[in-house]
Parts: sequence; C-alpha cells; structure tokens
Amino acid sequence: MRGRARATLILCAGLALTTGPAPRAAESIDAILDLARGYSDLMRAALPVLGRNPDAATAWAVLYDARRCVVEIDRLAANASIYGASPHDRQALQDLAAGAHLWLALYETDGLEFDRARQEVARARALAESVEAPEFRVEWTARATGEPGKGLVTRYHLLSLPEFEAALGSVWSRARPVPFAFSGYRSDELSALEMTRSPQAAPGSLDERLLSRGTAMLREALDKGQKAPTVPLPPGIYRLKGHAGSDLDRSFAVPEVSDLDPVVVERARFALKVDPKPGPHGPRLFLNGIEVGDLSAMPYGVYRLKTDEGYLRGAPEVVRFVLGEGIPDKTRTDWTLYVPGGSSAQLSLERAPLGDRLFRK
Amino acid sequence: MARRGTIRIATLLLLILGPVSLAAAAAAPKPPRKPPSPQSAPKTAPRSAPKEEARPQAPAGDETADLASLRSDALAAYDARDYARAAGVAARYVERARDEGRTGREFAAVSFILGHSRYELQQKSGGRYEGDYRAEIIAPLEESLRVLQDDPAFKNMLLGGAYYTLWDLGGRSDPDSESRAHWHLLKSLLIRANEARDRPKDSPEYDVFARHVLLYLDRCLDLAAASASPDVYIERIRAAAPWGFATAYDARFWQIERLTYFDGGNMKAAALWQRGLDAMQDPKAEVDDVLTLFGQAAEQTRRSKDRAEVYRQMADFVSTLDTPARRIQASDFARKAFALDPASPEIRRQFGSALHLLSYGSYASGRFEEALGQAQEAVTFEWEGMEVAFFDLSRAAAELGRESDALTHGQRAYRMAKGKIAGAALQPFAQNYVNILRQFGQDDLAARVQKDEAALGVR
Repeated sequence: MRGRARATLILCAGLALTTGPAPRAAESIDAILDLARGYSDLMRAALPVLGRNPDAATAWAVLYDARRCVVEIDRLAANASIYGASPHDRQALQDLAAGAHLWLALYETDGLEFDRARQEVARARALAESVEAPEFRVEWTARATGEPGKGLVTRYHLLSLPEFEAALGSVWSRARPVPFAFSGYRSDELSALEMTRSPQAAPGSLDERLLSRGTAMLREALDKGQKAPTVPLPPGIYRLKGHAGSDLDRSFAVPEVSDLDPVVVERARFALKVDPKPGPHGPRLFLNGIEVGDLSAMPYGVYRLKTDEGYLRGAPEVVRFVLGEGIPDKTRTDWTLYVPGGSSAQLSLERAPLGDRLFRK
Repeated sequence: MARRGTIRIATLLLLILGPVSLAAAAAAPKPPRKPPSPQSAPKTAPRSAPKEEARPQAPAGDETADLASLRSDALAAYDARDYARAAGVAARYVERARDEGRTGREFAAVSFILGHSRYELQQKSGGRYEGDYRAEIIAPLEESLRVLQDDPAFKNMLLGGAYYTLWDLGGRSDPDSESRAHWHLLKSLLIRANEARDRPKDSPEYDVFARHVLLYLDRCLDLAAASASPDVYIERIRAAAPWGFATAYDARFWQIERLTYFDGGNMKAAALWQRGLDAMQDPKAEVDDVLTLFGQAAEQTRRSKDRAEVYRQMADFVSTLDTPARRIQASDFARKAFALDPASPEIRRQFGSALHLLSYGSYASGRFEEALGQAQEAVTFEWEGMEVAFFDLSRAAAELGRESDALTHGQRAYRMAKGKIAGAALQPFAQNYVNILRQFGQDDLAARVQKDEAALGVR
C-alpha cells in the first residue's frame, strides 16, 4: 500500500533531519529547567483525558507516558548539581518533580494501580516541602473546551494536598475485597462462570473499570484452580451464573462500607427449619446482603439474621452453615452449624416471654 | 467541520456553463498541503538495499581479527553508510565481545552501529523482517542507549522509528510497541524543542525543528488510526501542534490541530479522515484506496454531521473523475451525506450537482427517461445552483415531448439563472429556453427572448 512507502519516506526524511545541524546539548540549568517543564507540561496537558472516562487501554497509555515523564524529571532533578544550579533552581526542579509525582499518583489511580499511587504521594512529600504548604494546590480534574481555530481553554479543579489525598483515598477504597469460596463445581463449570453487576456501570467509569479488573482477576484465579480467591469489586448487586443449564446461580451484594462475608459458591443445598417460623417479627435471613426466602433449598454460606428482639431473645447476628458434619460452635452473636449436603438443619430461637411481648414498648 | 478540498459546484457545471465558473472554482479554498520532504536532506541509507554481510572483507573478516579491528572496521563502514558491511562486522564484534564477557562504552557504541545499520537495511528493503526485529534491531539500540546517552534526540528518534516499524510489522495492534514508538519520538521532540527554544520561528534551525514536529504529528495520526486508545492523541496533538504555528507550515499545523475536534474528539475517525484527505491530494494514489480510507473514516465517525461531511468529501472527490461509474458513485455518496445532514447547504449543493452530472450524462447518451428522473430528484430539495436541475428537467422533458413540463421548467431555469448570473454563463439557459419555445411552436415568445438576450449570442 502507498501508505507504507509514504511512511518510510517520511521516516527517512525525519531521520535525515537528525543528521543535519549538530544538536546543542541541554548545557545550562535554564535548559534543564525548560526540559523538565516540558515533561511536566506534557503530564498536565494529558489531565483532560481522565475526565473523559477513559477505558483501560487509554488509561494505560496515559499512565505509560506519565511514568516516563516522571523518570525524566527525576533524572534532571538528580543531575542538577553538575550544572552548578543555584539553591533556588534546585528547589524549582524539586518542586516540579514533586508536582509531577502527584500527577503520577492521579494517573496511577486512574490506571487502578493504587499501591503505586500511594507511593507517588509519599514520594512527592519526600521531594519537596512546598507541597505541604497551605497555599499549595494540585490539579484534580481538568476540562478542556475549545473549537477549531480558537484557543483551547482548560479549566482545572485545584485541591490542597490533604484534599487531594482524601479524594484519591475515596477512589482507592472504592473497590472492596470480596472473598470467594468455590466448592462442588468442576473446573470447566467454573470457567464458564459469568459475573454481572447491577446497576450497570457507565462505560469508561471507574466502577466499570474496577468491575472489569475484578472480573479478570476472578477469571484468572479460577483458571489457575484457586478455590478461595479474594477479588476487589465496586459496590453493587452481583450475580454469578454458570453456563446454560447449569445450576450455578448465586447473587451477592457488595456494600458501600462494611466488609463482605465470604461468598460461598457450593452446589449442595440444605433445608432449614426455623423455630419459630419466620413471620413479621423475624427471623429474616440474609446471605451476602440478599434476603433468602426459600428455606427448602438453602445455599451454604454466612447468613445474617434480623429479628425483632422484643419477640425473639438471644438470636445470633451471624449463622454460618457449613457443609459437612461437626460440632456446632455458638457464641452469643455468632453460630457455626454443620449441615451435611441434602439434609436439613434446625434453627431454634428463643421466644421472649409472652408478658414481655404484650407489654413491650 | 471546515470544508476541505472543496470543488465548487461551479466546477461541476463547467460542462455547460462556461469559463465564469472556473474562476469561482479557483477561488475555492484549498486544503493546506503537506510540506514536501526536504530536498536537501542527506540520505540516511544507500539507494540499494543490500543484505547484511555476514562475512566481511579481510582484514576485519578474518577469523583472527581482534576486537579493535572489528570495531574500527564497523565504524568505518558505518561512517561510509555502508550499512550492510557495518551490520555484518558489528554483529561479529558483538558476538565475540559477548563470548569474552566484555561490556562498557565500546561495546555500547558497536551495539548501536549494529542496531542502526540493521534498521537502515530493513527500512530500505521494506516488507517483512525475516529475523526477530525486537531482538536484532531494538535490543542492541536499547542496550547501547543505557550506556551511551549522547545525542539523545537522534537516538530516541531512531528508537521511536524502530518501535514504530515493529508496531507496523506486527499488524499495528501491539499497544506496548505503540506506546514506546510514541514515547521515544516525543522525547526526541522535547529535546529538540529545548534546543530550538531561543530561535526565531523563521530561522533555519526552527524550520528543521518544525519538520520534526510534523513527522511526530504524522506518526501520531498513523498510530491513532489503528490504536486501541486513539483519544490520547487528542492531547498529544494539541500539545505539539502549537510548536508549528507561525512557521512555514502553519496551515498544516492548524489543519492537524483542528482534527482533534472532529466528530466531538474522535481521534481514530479524525486520523483516518486526514489520511483520506492527504491521499486524495496524492496524484499517485489509487482512487479506490482513497475511497477505502474515507470509508473507514465514515465507519468510525459517530456524529451524523461529521459522517455526512466525510461522505460529502467522498462525493466531491469522485465527482472530479469523469466516468459514468464514478458519477453514479458520486451521487451515491452525496445521497448518503444528504440523508445524514439534509440541512447543510454544502451537502445539498454536492448532492444536487452530483444528480445534475448524472442527468447530464444520461441525456448525452440519449437515455432521456433516466435523465428526467435524475433531474426530478435534484429539484426535490433546494440547493445553490439548482437552476441547472431545472435546465436538465426541461431538456429531458422536451426530448420526451412533454410540452408543459419542458416549457415550465425551461422558463424557470432561465429566470432563476437570470436572477443570479449574467453574461456568458447565462447563455445556455436562454438558448435552452428559446429552443424549447420553438420546439413547441411558441415562436413569438422565442423571438422576444432571443431579442432580449441577443448580446449573449442566443440564436
């Protein structure tokens, strides 16, 4: 195709240019500062990308450049002394470097590299005290507006360092670790597992990318034969479903704040008899945030109980139904009951005395 | 989106309306052309594309030659731009130095010669690389750059070029090669920008830099067209393009900068669109290749207005090729554009003129029913220049003996034209009306019109 020939021609022309006038090395501290600003400006110029809900590939591409820019700025700052830089110029380079590390923290966060992002904030602090100053501000978001032939206007949302860290922190904690426990299913059944979330995340949103990463991590863990992986997922209602015809169908909720009980994915079921029978005063049983109504085919797992304490006294908060045989373990709030597959279990709760129930406030 | 490469309707009407329209066509804005590659730039590779010489001449080729001789020989061949020999000797040096466990600056220098020479040989020969491109070309360059970091602008430019080739050879789908190709080119550019920072924009030094920026932007468009993350190039292009403003290539830089707004910031579509526009101006380009590029751009374009503009450009391009098949193609593209953006005066004009050309061709071939149908479609919407559609309609109707249609449309075409144009351009309309009047026995009226327009040469 012509394009190839043209590309080669342009490349040759470009390379030929480089053999033209002898390049001037960046020999002065001014040149060094300018070059460092050049890299810094590039990082800043890329900030509007983050406002467009970039997909994983785009986030990675921006992050790639940002990491490279920071390496270059750090290198220039480290070599400043050989150019006889004044303390003022050295400080200027350090400040540039610190700012670049903060932007890199932002790009790392957007690339879901949260540990690296934390390290970048720490690095910025170590490089320059100026970032701790009350008047210091760093760009959090950038929105570019413009039209052909007119100047580009970029509006930045600036934050102080504590605000910046808090904002990053809210992103870092957006995904919550979800422990899974798979048993009773063949590896090919688990390979065909599909995980969906509601509400559906907006394309390119942080939740969508966190979900995409979590799904990939779960898939990788299952492919490796791991039976108890922990996967970070954003809050929402999830459903795990096997291939068509499979009985694998398990829902769970990832809460916004509290930790999640292990999501037990087990083929076996058991029947549960509750005494007294569930009624308006409870007990209501919740498995990973989803209320379970059919007591005849209960999945194993960690159940949370909600009861009317005026009617049912001393009910546990948590009951773990574990497949197999064993001696029940009961504390005041936490019970562990062993139930063989296909059999039934009894959950007996103590009723409050009738008088208490009649005259309770 | 600004009009690009527009050929005014007047040009299309040239067939019947005479030289006035040509002047109008000349006044039409032309898209900025890509600046030519510098004629005076020295070549980086020999004209022929010799293979790497695995067995260099004596004494360096001698099995007993020491490393110093091999290094000197490789350097001499490299300086003479005898890349085949340089690559062969450098490869032997590197192999032996590795066997002896040698590293250091000298090793790095010869590694660079090896990588660069192989790169030049590959560029010259084109096509597939038979060996392992990354291991045999990129690795020696990177290995060298880790130790010898002199002339970083050139070395990064070279490395960027090598990664670009790797990306290209690998089917333009590897994001790692893409990122590295872009990064090294960008780094080279930043170093050059630093060197050019105090130079006036009209200085020869800045001109060299501006051409570097053009090369970089050209690469950005290429990468964006195939990238899985094309929109990162919006900011990349916006950051680099201003370096070229107010230089000799100002128009081209603005054109590329404007691309970042195309289709609401759809850089993949924009890059393909620009590739189509560039190919359109290349006289050696195959028409179908150009249309394929435009077609890809249209497919990637999300907003109907922008997609319509792509189709309009396709119609405009094809309409300059005066063959019956291309005329049909032109009207098809224009129809697609019209369906997407019927409010655009430019698109209406394009569609109307495409139908006019079709009608004209059908009429000239004696297919009067077809000519009539095409002209009828051209008067279903208003467009600048639609008097020619009425002109076509009247002529075709006259040939088919439809008196009323012929007279009505002939008169309308003449009156519309008279309200807009004068002189020689009006003559065909007046003559056509007179002819039709005479054909249907309206000799008195024909004589009056003939008298009124006698100065135009109406007979």
